[in-house]
Amino acid sequence: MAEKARSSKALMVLAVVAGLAVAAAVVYDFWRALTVNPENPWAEFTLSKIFFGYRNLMFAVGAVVWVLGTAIFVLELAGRTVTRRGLERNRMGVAEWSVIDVALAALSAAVYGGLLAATAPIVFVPGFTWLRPANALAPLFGMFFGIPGCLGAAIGNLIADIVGGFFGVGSFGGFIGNFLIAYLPYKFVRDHSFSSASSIGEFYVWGVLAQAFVSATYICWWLDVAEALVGLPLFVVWGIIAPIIFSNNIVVNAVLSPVLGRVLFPLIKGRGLYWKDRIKAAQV
Amino acid sequence: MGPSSVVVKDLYARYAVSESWVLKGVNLAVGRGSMLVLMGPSGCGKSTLLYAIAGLLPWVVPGEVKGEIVVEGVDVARSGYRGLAGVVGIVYQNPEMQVVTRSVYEELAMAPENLGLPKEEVMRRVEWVVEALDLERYLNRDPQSLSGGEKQLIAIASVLTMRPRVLLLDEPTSMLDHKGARLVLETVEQLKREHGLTIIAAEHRVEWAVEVADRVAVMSDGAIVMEGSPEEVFSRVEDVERYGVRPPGAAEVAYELRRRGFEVRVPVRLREAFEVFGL
Amino acid sequence: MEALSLGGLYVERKTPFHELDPRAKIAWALLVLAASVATQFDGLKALPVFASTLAALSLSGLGAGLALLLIVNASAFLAAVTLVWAGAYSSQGVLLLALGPLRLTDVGLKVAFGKFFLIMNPVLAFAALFASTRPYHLMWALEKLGAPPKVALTFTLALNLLPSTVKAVREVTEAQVARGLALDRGSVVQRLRNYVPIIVPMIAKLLSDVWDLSMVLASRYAGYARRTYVFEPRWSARDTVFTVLSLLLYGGVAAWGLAPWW
Repeated sequence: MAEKARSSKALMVLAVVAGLAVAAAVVYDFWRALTVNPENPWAEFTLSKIFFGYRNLMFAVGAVVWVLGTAIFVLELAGRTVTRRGLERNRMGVAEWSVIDVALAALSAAVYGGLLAATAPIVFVPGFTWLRPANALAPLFGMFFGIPGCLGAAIGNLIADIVGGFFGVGSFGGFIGNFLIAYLPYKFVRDHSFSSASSIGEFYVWGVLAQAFVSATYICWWLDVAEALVGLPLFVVWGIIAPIIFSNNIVVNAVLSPVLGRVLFPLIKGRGLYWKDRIKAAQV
Repeated sequence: MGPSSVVVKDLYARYAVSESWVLKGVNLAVGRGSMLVLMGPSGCGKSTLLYAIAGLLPWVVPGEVKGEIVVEGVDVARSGYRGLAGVVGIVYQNPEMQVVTRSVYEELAMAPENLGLPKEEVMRRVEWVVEALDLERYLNRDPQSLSGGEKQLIAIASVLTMRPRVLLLDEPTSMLDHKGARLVLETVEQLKREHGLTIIAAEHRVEWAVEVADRVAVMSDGAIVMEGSPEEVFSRVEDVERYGVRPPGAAEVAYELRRRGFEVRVPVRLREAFEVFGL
Repeated sequence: MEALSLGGLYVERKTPFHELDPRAKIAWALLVLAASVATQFDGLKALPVFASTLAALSLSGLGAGLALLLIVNASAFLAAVTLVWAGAYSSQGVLLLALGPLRLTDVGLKVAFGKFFLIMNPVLAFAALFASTRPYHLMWALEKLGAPPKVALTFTLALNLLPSTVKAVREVTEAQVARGLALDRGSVVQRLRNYVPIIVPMIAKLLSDVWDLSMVLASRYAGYARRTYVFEPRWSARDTVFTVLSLLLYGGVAAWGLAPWW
C-alpha cells in the first residue's frame, strides 16, 4: 500500500517536472530560434518544425481530436458524459441548468473575455508578445464550475474574438478548443484542490500538457480544413499558430494556473460554488 | 392591521455553506398593504429572511428551510420562487448586477417577457410603470450610463412590471450615495402611498423607517427580538441599542435628557421632536 | 486600446444598418464571406467586397476608420500571411520585384491581396454585424437558429456584462499598479505571476456577483416559460431589398472571381 502511494507520488512529481520542463524548454527554444534566425524564427523553432514537419500526422491526429472533441462538447451540453460504464448523466446538461449555472457561465465568460480583451499580452521573448495570462483561467473554470465553467471559457474566448475584431470562421475552432481546455482537467483531474501531490500532478498531465496539445491540434485542424474559408497558409497554421497556442497554453498554465488554483479553490468552495458540492447539494 | 399578506411561522433557515441556522424560529405577520421595516446589525438574518419569503432559499441559493411561509395564500415551501410570479417582487442591494440589458425598456420588459406574457400585455405593463414612476426620461438611455440610484429605481420598476402584491427590498440604498438613496426611498414611499403594496424592507436608515413604516421589526442573531409600531420599538432606546440598532436622533436626544433627570416623552419622528422640545 | 479592444461590441446608433433585421445582416455577412472565398486568388476582384464592408462600417455609424484600426492591430500577422502567400506563388506570372529571397510576381501579389481580403472582409462584416445588432436581437437570432434558450441567454448576458467587467479589470489593474505592481518587469515567470493580484480580485468579484445575478435572474423569472420578444424583428421590404441587392452584388463578384476566363 505504502509502496503504491510512494510510486504514485513519484509519478505526480514527474508530471510536474515534465510540465515545467516543457514550458522552460519552449521559452528557451524560441529564444534560441530568435537568436539563430531573427528574420524568421519559425524556421528554427523546434515546435514549428514538429507541427509543420509532421503536418500529415498532425492532421490525422487533429481529425481524431476534432471528432472526439466536438462529440464530447455536444454530449456534455446535452447532459451526457462518457464513463467506463458507457454514457451516463452528467447532471450538468444545459436543459438542467438552474439560474446559478446560467449566471456562472455568463460571468465566467464575461471575466475571461474581459481579461483577454483588457490585459495586454506579455512579452515572451522581445518582439513576440503572445502570452495571455487570462488563459490560465480556462482550466480553472472547468475544474471549479464544471460544464457551465467550460462553456463560459468557450463563450469568453468567442466574445474576446468579437470585441477584438477577430471573429470569423476560425472562431468556431477557438470556441470548442477553449471548451476542451477547460474540459480536460474538469473531467480527468480527480482532486481539484491543488493541495495534494496527485491534484497538482494530474493537473500538469491534463490541464497543462494534454490540453495544450489538444487545443492546438483541434484549432489548427479546423483552420487547415477550412483553409479555403479562412485564408491562412498551411505553414502559418501549423508552423506558427499551432506552436503559439501550444507554447502559450503550456507556459501560462504551468506557471500561473496552479498558483491561482491554490488560492481560489477554498474561496470557491467556501461560497458554495464548487460543482461537486452543488451536485451533491442538489441530490440531497 | 388588515388580513395578513405575509405569514411566517417558526422559520429556521440556513445556507448550504453555513454551519448553524441563520434564522432561528422567526415568526412574523405583515398586513396587506402595510409596510414593515426590518432592522438589525449586518449578519443578523434580514436578507436571509427576505430570500426565504421570496422562495429563493433554498430554491436558488442552496440551503435548508424549516417552518411555514405563506405569501398571499401561496405556500412558499411548496412552490418556491416559481410559484410567486406576480405575487412577490424583490429588489437587491447591488444596483450593478440588477441591470443586465442594454436599454431601459428591455430591462423593464425582461420579467414579463420571461413570464411569456403576450407582447401587448408586456408593453402595457412597461407603459404603466413608466407613467407610474415617471421614467420617460430614462427610456432611451443605456442603463450602464445611469447612476447607482437611477439603476436601483429601474430595478424597482423592473420588478413592478410583474405586478407583485408584495415588494421585498433588501437594503436597496446600502450601496448608494445620499442623492441616489433619496430617489429610491421616495419611490418606495410613493409605492406605499399610491399603489397599496405590501412592503417588507430591510433598511438601516432609521429616520426614514420611522416616517414611513407601519411596523418595525428588530432582528438579532437570526430572530426577531422586537416588533411593533415605530413608536413602540424606538421608545425603548436602551433595548434597541443593545441589539445594535441606532435609534432615531430625536429619540436619542430625549433619552439622554431623561437619563439626566428631565421628564420628557421620547419622540421617534422629527415633527414629534419639535413638539416635545417646543421648537 | 479601449476602442480597439471593444471594436465589435454593440454601439447604440440610429442608422440604416442598425434598423435592418438581424437575419438580413447575418445573411449579408455570410455573403461577404462567400464572395471573399470566391475571389481569394485575385485581390483586385475582392476589392468591391472590401469596399462594401467599409461602407457597412460607415453606414452602421462605426466609421471606416475601425477597419484601419483592426488592420493595424493585426498588421504583423497579416504581413506574415500575405508574404507567405506571395512566396507560394512566386514561380507563377511576371516577376515584379526581387528582394533577397522574396520574389514578388503579379500572380503572387493578386493571391496575397485576395487572401488578405479573405481574412479581413469577414472580420469587418462580423464587426459591423455585432456592433449594429442589439444583444437582445442576437439572443433572438440565436434562438431562431436553434441554440438552447439558456445558452443564448448566457451569451447575451456575457456580452452585456462585458463593458462593466472590462472597466473592473482596468480599475483593479490601476489600483495594483498604484500599489507598486510592475507588470512589465522581471522574467517571463515573474511577469506571469504579476497577474495574480489582478486575477484573484476579479474572481472574488465574480463569486459574489454569481449569487446576485442568480437571484436577479430567478426573480425576473428567466427560463420560466417560452420567452416573449417585444422587439421581435419584423422582416420588412427594406430587408428584402437589402438582401436582394447583396445577393446581386456578391453573387456578381463571386461569379467574377470564379470565372476563369474573366
